[in-house]
Amino acid sequence: MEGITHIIKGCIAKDHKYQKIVYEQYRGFAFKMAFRYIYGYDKATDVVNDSFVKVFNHFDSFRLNAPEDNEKVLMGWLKKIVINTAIDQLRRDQMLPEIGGIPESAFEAADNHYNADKIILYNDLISIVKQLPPHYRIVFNLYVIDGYSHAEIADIMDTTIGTSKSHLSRARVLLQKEIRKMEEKSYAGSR
Amino acid sequence: MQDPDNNIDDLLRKAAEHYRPALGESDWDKIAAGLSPGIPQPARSSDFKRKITYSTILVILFLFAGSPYRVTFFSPPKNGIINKDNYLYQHAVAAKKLQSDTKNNFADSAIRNTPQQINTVPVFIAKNNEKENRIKATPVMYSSDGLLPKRIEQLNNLITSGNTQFSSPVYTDSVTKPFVNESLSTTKLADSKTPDTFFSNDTVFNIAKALPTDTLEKKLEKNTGTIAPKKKVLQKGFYMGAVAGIEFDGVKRLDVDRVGYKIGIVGGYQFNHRISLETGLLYNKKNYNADGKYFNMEKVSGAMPAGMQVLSLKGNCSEYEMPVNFIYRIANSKTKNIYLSVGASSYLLSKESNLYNTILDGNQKEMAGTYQKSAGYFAATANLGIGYESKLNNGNALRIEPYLQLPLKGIGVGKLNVMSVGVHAGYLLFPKK
Repeated sequence: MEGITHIIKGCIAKDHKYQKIVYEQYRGFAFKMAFRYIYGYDKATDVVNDSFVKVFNHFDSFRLNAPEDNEKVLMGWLKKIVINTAIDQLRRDQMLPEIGGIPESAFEAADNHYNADKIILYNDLISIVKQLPPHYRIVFNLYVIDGYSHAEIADIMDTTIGTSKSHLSRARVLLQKEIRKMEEKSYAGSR
Repeated sequence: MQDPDNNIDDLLRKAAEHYRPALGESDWDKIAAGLSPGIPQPARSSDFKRKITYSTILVILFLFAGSPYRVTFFSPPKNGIINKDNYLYQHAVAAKKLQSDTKNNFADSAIRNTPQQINTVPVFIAKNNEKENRIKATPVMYSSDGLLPKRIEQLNNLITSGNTQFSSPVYTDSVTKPFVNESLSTTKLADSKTPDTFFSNDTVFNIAKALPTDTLEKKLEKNTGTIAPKKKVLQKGFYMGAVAGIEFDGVKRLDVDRVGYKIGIVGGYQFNHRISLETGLLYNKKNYNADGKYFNMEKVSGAMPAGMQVLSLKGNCSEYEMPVNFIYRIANSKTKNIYLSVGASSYLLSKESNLYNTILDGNQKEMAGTYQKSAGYFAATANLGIGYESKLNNGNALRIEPYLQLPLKGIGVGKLNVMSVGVHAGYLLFPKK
């Protein structure tokens, strides 16, 4: 793979060849993020696509840093855009709770992997997060996984810090309940 | 298995890191369709916008500073070469009449046959009007310019030798005295007794020579008016008004993508027709950009992780502005004037919001901060403006003023030196006479 700085320069020049390289390289990373926020697989794919369009159309505002930092900075920028696009999508859907289950095909098969059990567990845990009501899901993802502060969340969600904390607390309670259920199922199955 | 009750957050962080969603087919074709053409841009659009904005402001400044000034000072008098109400003009007419009365054809023919430098006449008039209220006059027939050599001398001799009609020099009263045409004979002129006023011979004769001879009598008959003193355009006293305008703000460079505005009331005291002192209360919304190096981290470092640096920021603030400006009217007329405005503004900052572009350990991240604590800043900007006022029939005025505000001290949490360039328009209520 060509050096990331060279690729970024190509993207700044709006060269589709380099844009495609970036897309192929980081679409997994972007989808992994989007899928935590967006319940449906197809909608998550749309969010990823929209995010890349935004990134490529605004690449001229990207500031080149030291070569060793460029990839981190690019990933940080992409992450931010994906999250914002996902939240915008949920807003467009009026934050309504989604219906229907998450098909197993939404996750990669973990056959023959040396820690396949763990991967299945992680996939299940993310499914639980995805089943949280949209407000709780957003706050939990932003705060616990993506490292935003309550002040930032309040700003993004156009709400108060207190509301953000309250949503996080309720999200944790729901998650604990669901994880306990999952443990009980697992325990019953093993007997 | 890890106990989810004890450490849910850690568990879910790990899950988010290691879970494996199935990736579908590449959607590159869809994405490529939504992208702008792959042609490198020759210049950033913001650079272009910035250039357009600066050019527009310069053109506005040039237009307002240039054209009315020229109109006021360099255009000819509207009524032609000679102002008919002018006292000198009337005396020139009297001189002509005097020549006619003495049946001195020499004089008329000399006047008619002499090439004239007509354009010098209004200059004499303007100077005499502006500098002195009382215009000096000598007997109109005393001339030494050589144009009327013999008959004028004879007439002079007649005057000085004791002729009853010309026994004393011809005097006029001050400029405010009505000039009645039917009394304009040599005898009546001689009856006027204000010995300290007299015309210069050359001035009167120049004017007389500039007049067409055949219209002199008609003009003389029509001339019954009073010569009023020149009106001052503006009077002393308080005035007030409302202003509103738009502006571009920034630290070192202007943010031309977002427009700020100000709106409020102004009031002032006019000391004379040139100088005023003006203040006001304006609500001001500023939108600005700044590089991180201009942002003072002192007040916000506690709210940011250690080692985080601000690369740049995009902010806005709401504040109340109290300007104090001296206004000097450099060009003044009945209907319009141009003024210079110089002063300083103090601010009461009521709200500030900044979006920081930060970097920590190589990761770029945006952080938002909103600050609602009020803070006052005395004389935080120096104000420079050049304005144009158009007087309305009711004595009030419309104003437009391009201005520049240069920072004298930093404002806000980051002590940013925000400069502004803008233009405001206003409606001013002046004291009634």
